[in-house]
Amino acid sequence: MMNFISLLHPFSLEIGLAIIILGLFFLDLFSVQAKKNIGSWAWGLTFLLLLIHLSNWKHFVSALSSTYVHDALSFLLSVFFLITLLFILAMSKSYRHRFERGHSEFYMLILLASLGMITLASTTDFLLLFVSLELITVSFYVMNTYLRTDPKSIEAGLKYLVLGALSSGFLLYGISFIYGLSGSTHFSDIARYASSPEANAKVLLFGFLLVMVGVGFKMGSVPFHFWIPDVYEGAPTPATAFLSVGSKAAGFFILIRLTNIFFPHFQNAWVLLFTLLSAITLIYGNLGAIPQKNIKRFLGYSSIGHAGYLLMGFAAGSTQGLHAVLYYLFSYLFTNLCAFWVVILFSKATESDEIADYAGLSKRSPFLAATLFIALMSLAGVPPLAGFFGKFLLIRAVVEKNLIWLAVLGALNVVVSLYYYLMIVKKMYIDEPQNPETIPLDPSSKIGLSIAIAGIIGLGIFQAPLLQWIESAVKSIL
Amino acid sequence: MYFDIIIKIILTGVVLGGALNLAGLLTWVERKQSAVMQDRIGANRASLFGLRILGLFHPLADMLKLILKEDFTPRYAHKILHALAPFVSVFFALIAFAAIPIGNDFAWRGHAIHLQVAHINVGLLYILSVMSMGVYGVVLAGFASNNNYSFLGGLRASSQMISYEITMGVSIMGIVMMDGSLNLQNIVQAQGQYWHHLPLWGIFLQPVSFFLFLTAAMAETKRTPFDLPEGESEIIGYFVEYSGMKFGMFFLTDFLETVLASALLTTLFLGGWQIPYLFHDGFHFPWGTVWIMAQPWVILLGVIAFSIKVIFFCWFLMMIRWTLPRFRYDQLMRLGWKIMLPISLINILVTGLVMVLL
Amino acid sequence: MESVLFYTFATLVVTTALLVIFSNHPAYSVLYLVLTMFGLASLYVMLHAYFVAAIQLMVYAGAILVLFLFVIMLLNLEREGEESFRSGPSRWLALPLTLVFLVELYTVVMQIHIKGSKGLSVEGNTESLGHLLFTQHLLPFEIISFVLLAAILGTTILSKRNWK
Repeated sequence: MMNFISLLHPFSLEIGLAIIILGLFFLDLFSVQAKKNIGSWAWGLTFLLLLIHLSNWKHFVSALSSTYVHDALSFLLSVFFLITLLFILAMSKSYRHRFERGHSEFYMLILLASLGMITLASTTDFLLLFVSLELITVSFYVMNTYLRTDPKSIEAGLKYLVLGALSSGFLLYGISFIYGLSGSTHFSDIARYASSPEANAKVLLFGFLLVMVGVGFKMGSVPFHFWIPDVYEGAPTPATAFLSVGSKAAGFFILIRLTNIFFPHFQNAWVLLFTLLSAITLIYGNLGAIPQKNIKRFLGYSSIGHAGYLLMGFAAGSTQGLHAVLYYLFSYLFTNLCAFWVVILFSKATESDEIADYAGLSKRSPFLAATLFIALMSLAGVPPLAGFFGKFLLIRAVVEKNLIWLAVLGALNVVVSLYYYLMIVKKMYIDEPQNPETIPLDPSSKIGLSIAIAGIIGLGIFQAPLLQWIESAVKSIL
Repeated sequence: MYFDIIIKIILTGVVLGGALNLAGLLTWVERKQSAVMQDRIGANRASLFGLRILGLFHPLADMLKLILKEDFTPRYAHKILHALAPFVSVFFALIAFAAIPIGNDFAWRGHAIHLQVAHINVGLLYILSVMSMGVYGVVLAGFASNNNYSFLGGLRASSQMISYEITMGVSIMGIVMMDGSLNLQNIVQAQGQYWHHLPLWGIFLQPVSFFLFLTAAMAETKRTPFDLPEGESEIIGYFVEYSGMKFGMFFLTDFLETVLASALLTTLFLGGWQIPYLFHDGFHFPWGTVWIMAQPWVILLGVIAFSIKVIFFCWFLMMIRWTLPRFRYDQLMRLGWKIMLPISLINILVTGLVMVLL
Repeated sequence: MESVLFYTFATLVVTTALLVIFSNHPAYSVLYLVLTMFGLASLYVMLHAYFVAAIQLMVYAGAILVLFLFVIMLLNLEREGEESFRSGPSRWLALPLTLVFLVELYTVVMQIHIKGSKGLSVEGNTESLGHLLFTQHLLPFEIISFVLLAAILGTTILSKRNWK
């Protein structure tokens, strides 16, 4: 019995989240009063969990024959996911009127997906990695189809389902190649095999490429991006926001763990692969965003573009590259969630996601317009906002590795993105509104948006604390 | 090598012959049993050389009739699947018997002999999986006939079988947990222990699981009260487009499944070939009397005990079949999913708790 | 003997898997998939993974594929529309890309020396599997139950007709 408890001890965060999920189930079943406020319950309990988790700082252990580690990196990543989770739970509250049914279940699916993300943050084993990814994907299958009478949502869910299953298949095939070669699914065993003399680099690379298909689907980098515009447009907006931050970040976090194993052994192939991926993704995402008429589709293309920027960090393959990726993801977290939250609040008042309807937003709601303005500028990378510093770090990492052309391409894309982000800003501030009604805002959304704005500006100006934290985290896995 | 193969062939013959003959005989038992219960005389007309012996020749006459009948395939049926379905049905019902131990292991002239056609490590799972494959015969029959009535029957049969399969699998986990093995021979051997002279048979250790399994097994055989797939008074079942021996094979499958269910019930809950107080060297009664017996006789007694228990269960299932009325479809589903499955899960939990605490 | 059996079952698996794709009646596709599962189970048996083989048959062939067949029969799908799959000019990329992939796969497989672990001890197969599941792989095992929870939630919400 004692043995069992000591076995469970390292998983306090995961067990806490699992208990929240199951507890909400029972609360939803038995209490009519709580059923109405299930979102607030979920938010409060998750916030409590975050506080407890933060107090466990520096309490690092590994468990289950070290297939599961709590190192500085996984701590950082779980904090990332918990913050995302809190934002998504909060913004779902403004969207729940759109669901004809299953209001409380939507929160549970969000929590289930983040449980997958949090286990993913700590895994050092392909088996657990695959299972956690499946947990994320399955939850999203459901969330994307949640507006089940809306054909667009059904299309979104179906596309995500088919392509998600296909990419999982590739991922599993790749894992089986790697397992067949090294005889283990454990990252450190695979790394040991890769550096041993009898290692078969070609086959290992092939396995890695197949794994990259699955990871690329999550990241939304170019050859695996086909689902993004349609799914982003059709899915319920909180699910879209979660996809664009949580799910995307999950892909990049996997890649960070894998960098250690694979990068040292086939540097040339790695650099070639990621520079190409990054360049194509950048160009495709940024050019694709220009003609968009729907704000969610637009943000979808822009998120492809951001995947391109993030891949630059892996093209560099250096520690600086990883620092930049992590920093960029944190800035992207606040920025993108802020933008999506505005989209939700706007659609709640106007029932529209069309960019044309954003005309004259500054007169209808100066607060929303200002918030979206800051978020878009940070996405474009205007100093002194968070997005600028992230891009700066990424381009510096690439330049250090003498990939000057990639750096130039990145900088050029900043200009392109500035163009289409400013088009929306022009709509909001210069054009006249067709419907001059003001948009009402509830205080909790105002507070939430203010926090996000504070995050954007704070990360732009005070880089040092987060950067130090990231450096210590990355050091822990090297 | 050759010796082992010969032994296996003989054993296969015995098991197959036993199962098939018992199934054939059951058609007669069914008629007679129903007759007795309904205060009729029952089938007694078939006679050979003026001999009637309670109508025992009826199974033979039935068989002859089925073989001689025209074998008809509807024009719009999927021909190959239509022909394949009955074979699939019978095949999976028959090979399930392979893992059932009919007697204790023994050594003869230096050869270890297992009285079990296939000595499979995961025998219990093997039987469950083979039984679950039996659904295909039914589904195919319903689908390939291209007839709405048989289609309905096929749908009902497959949903019913899938629903009850789960309970069936889950309910016996308690037994597996206590005996720590999936090999049926080991499970039977473990039932040879005693607790204050009470033989530790499955039925005493896991009474809840016994009733769950009994119910689920009856549902698997698709006979009243679970005969919705056939439901001769409402829809005419998945085999409505079959005639001749192909129909006979479906008919046979039902009885074979009854025998199989009885054999499984015997093996898991009634100690298989175990006879209380019979040890490998003879009887040791609790009051002190000892009858020493030679090993071959002990083994033979075990096989006979096994057969008697199987026949008892066959008769018992037949009693239930003629006692209870048919379920309604929603009742069937509610019973399966909302009552039996939760109880069987709780049973696992309780068993686990008790095992940890003791 | 062993290699003869292996190649028999491997051929069975591959041909039936191909037939799943190429047969033009969905119900036949499912039936071929059942045969594929059979072949796979046989291969597991040859690796002495009896437990996995039995579970493979019971879960995939015995339950999941029956449900597939069920749905196909209920929808009464006959031949699927030929044109529904032909989409856009990107389909001309499919063939060369597949060929590249196959060539790559061939070269890779030709120089592979599968190491893998040789499987668990033959006798206590199920026991050692259970032991591993509840010690080393406890977490993936538990997470799978949450995957199932998400799936159950999803099917209930998306498909239930009457919602109070």
